[in-house]
Amino acid sequence: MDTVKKVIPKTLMYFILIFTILISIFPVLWVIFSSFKTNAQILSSPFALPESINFDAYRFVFENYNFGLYMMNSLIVSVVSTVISIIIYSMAGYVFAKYDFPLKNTLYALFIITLLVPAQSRAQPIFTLLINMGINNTLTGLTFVYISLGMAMSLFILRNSFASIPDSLNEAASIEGATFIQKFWKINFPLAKNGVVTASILMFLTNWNEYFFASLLTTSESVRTLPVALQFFNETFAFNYTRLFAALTVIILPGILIYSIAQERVQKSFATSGVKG
Amino acid sequence: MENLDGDKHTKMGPVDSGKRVPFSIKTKKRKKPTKMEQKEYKGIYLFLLPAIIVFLLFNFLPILTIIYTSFTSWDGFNPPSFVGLQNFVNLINEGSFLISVKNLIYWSFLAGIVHVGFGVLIAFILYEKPFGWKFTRSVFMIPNVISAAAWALIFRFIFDNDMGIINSTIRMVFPNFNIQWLSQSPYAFWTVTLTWLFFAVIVTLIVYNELLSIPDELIEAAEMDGAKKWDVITKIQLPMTRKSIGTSVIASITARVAMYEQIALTTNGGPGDDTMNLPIMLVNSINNMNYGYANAIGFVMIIFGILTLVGINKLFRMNEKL
Amino acid sequence: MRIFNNKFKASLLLGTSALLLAACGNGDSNGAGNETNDTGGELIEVTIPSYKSGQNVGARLFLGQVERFNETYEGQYQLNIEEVPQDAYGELIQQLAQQNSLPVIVHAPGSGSIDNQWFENVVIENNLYHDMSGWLEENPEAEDLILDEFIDFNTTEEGTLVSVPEYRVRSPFLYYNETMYNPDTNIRDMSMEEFSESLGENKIAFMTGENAWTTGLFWSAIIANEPGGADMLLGANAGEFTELDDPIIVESIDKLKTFMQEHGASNTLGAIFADAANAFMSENAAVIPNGPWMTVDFEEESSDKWSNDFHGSDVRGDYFPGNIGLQSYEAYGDWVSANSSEEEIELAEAWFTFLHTSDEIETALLAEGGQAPNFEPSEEYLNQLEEDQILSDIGNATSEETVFVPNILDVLPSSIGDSELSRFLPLLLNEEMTPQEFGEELANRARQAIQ
Repeated sequence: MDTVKKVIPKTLMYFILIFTILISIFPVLWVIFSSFKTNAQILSSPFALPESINFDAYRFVFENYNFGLYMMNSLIVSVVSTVISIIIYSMAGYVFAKYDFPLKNTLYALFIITLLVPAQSRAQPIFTLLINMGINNTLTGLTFVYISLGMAMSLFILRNSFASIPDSLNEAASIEGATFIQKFWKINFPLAKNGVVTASILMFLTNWNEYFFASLLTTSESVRTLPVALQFFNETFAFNYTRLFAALTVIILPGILIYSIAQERVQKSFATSGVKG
Repeated sequence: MENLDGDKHTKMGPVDSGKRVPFSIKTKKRKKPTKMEQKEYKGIYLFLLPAIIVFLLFNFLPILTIIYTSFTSWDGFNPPSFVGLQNFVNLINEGSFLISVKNLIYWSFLAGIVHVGFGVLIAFILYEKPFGWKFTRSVFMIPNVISAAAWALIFRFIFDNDMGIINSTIRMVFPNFNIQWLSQSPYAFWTVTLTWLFFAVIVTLIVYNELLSIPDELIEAAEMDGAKKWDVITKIQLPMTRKSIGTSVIASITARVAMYEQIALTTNGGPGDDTMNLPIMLVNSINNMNYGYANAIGFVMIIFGILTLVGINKLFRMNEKL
Repeated sequence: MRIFNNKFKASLLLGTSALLLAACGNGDSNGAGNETNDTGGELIEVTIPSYKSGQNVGARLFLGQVERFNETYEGQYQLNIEEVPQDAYGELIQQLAQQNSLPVIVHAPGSGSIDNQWFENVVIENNLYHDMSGWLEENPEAEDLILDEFIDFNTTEEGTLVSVPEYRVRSPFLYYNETMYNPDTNIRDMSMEEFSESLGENKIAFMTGENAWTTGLFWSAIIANEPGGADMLLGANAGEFTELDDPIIVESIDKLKTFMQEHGASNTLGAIFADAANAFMSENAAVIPNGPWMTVDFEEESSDKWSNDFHGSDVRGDYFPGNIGLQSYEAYGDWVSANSSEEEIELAEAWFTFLHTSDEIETALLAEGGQAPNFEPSEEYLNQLEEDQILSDIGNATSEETVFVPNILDVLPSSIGDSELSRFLPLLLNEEMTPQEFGEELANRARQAIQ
């Protein structure tokens, strides 16, 4: 009886795992396979494996579009905006979590509301601002905008993270004469690693995939990011599915690779740090 | 045993897990600042400064604009003219609006219960470290690494009637099967829902991380006292992860409020108004150069978000310390 | 902890160096609007954003024109193009208008570009355009070529010319695959009923997705065939047509529905433009209504889009049944922004003069089709035209009898054409709405949209 009780949950568990794996991989795999088929094959036998591996579409995409550049741009903007955001919003989140001060709740509420301001409504003020600052059509400008986009979610996560750290640690540190910054940097920040990692991942992905502001604020090819490049493909390859899928693959794969590598590093630092949570 | 009764007000420090720390007050009352705290004010405001600057530059003006112009008629360029509550009255009378709200409520429930539920489920499964858990975790991320536009494109192909995988597979058994998943009335809503329903990796990440931070000793002690798996889950792990679950619920519901690209690129609100939502109405209004109306919709979106935030916070008692 | 710190330091380092890189690696830092090098009487250089670039269908002609212009005026003028995705162009121009830094030359308003209504309410209203009437006077050859109706529409009450109007009429028409459908009489000489009969089992590539473009074209032709229908379309102001519940229109909706149900390609429901085009180029559909620029897809270079033995050379063209063409004289052309400097305007005017030289006109007509009634073509042009089957078909088909009406998608309020129509078509086709209900629903929404 006991073994049955153990077996059923276990099989259920594996069933769910397999389901998860399938729904995650399958769409992407299908796109990759289809990129090797001709248009005719895609339309008539979508399920079949490609009849031959044909790299023509890829060659076309690489010859006509400067992928390395777009990816570099996306990478720079995403990484820099994430790093700066984490710093800024950790500082703010820490303060919201640990201290009391006038206007605290109002300020917090205001910051969080920014989550729901639709992008289209922000377009005009942001555009004006960037042009006045002279950084329109630059990666710098885009980076700043992305930092502002991540405010609500990052602040939320980071604040909660800091809030779970017991106040006693700070109290003890104060008694021993630690300064404000020391308390933040040496005690609390390391302990909020979970939140930092989660917020970083969230921010990075959001920025990596952001399209609206990227298309509005960058026109030169030298600062184009991957999502904008995808829109170009969508428009131009719209009914040449082979090329469209090839372009899609080229855009999706780097993101996946980067994420896998980063994740390995992050998990390693988790495991070897010794302190859990 | 006293440590493990699921008492949400007990704190356990992560370093000395045997030591019990005194009960902390649930809500912080504003005390008169002591001299030390006054010194700290400098640090506090300094730390807040960058965030405040970002807020003022990039968010303050848009929020004000939205709130102010939602009471005006504005074509986006010439000066707006005040019309009071007219935009909101028009909004309520517009059929699409009521349907959008209805859809939003459905989707919010689906998000909060199914989407977050699935994410939590996977998090708990990963915690058990079954065979292949690392692979699952890595792979689960893939849909989120892909942009919404690319994802919508992929889903359009998969659910296409002529050449999509789904129908081609079904036709192997039912040769005359012909359903237009994204254009036919009851199906479109669910097909659009499927584009996000199970892709809950962010939820999993957040919950999993908090799960990991529950001290092992706590669980070991409970098991030694005879607690079963189910009790451990319901009395220790779930309550102690409620902050992250609450965060996930808020995040996923607000994502439904703001979801634009997935719908615009698949059904654009159709067929009829089946999958209509507020952001699409907003963009349509902007295309009609009716910015006042669009911002009224934006205002409604903000209100909804605030309600969600406050409501879920209360529901999950997320402000309390563990 | 140590590793975490190192990682953090590493990312900080990466971040700073990236910032440095970014500062060095930025694009034109003064916005996408004007950028002019004016070296006192020497080379005048202008950069404008455009969506007619890269692989966009309009790029072939446009980029060629830019290149030839730069060659002709080497050392004097240079025009540079920055690529923008087509669907971001409208928003970008709107934002630039707010900043008073519009590009020197802006593409014509219309579907796929900037919004007509926006152009009227913002650009014309606030005099953001440079008056081109002076240029017109100084270029009498161009003035002869440009169609009077267009000039009239583009002239304000004060006598200013808001844009450079068209010298040609480019009507969408029906493309058909003659290996699948070979009628005895010309399509344009048939009535809608005769056309339906002659099709037999053949399919038409309709759309219900995006803006239902191909469907809208055909629907316009059906309306024009109804007694009083053509007048309704001709009498409508662009973006303000709301009489969708009028009995004439409802009747046309009914006929449209029947056509789509009987002759719609298998993928009609949910089809976006790519699906319709693919249906035609894979011999799923024998007929597709579309604009003249689709001829590019039937040339040999585009053969990778063909499947199932489809050949571009099999395609012929003709006007819609009832000898209907689609063209509105209520159209603006490319325009020049008022906030441009004198040198920039000089370049812009030279550009437009260049475009109206005979060689350029012939190149444009051969590339994108269209009829230029005031233009005297050369022998060479006529010979080259013969080589393009479809364009010569249409050239031969155009006569005094051809009736031109506006495209209904142009006269409907923009959100109706862009969004509502495509959302409600499936309900109509699935019989969940009657034509009457369809007309009423859209009429109500249209009225609300133009409030």
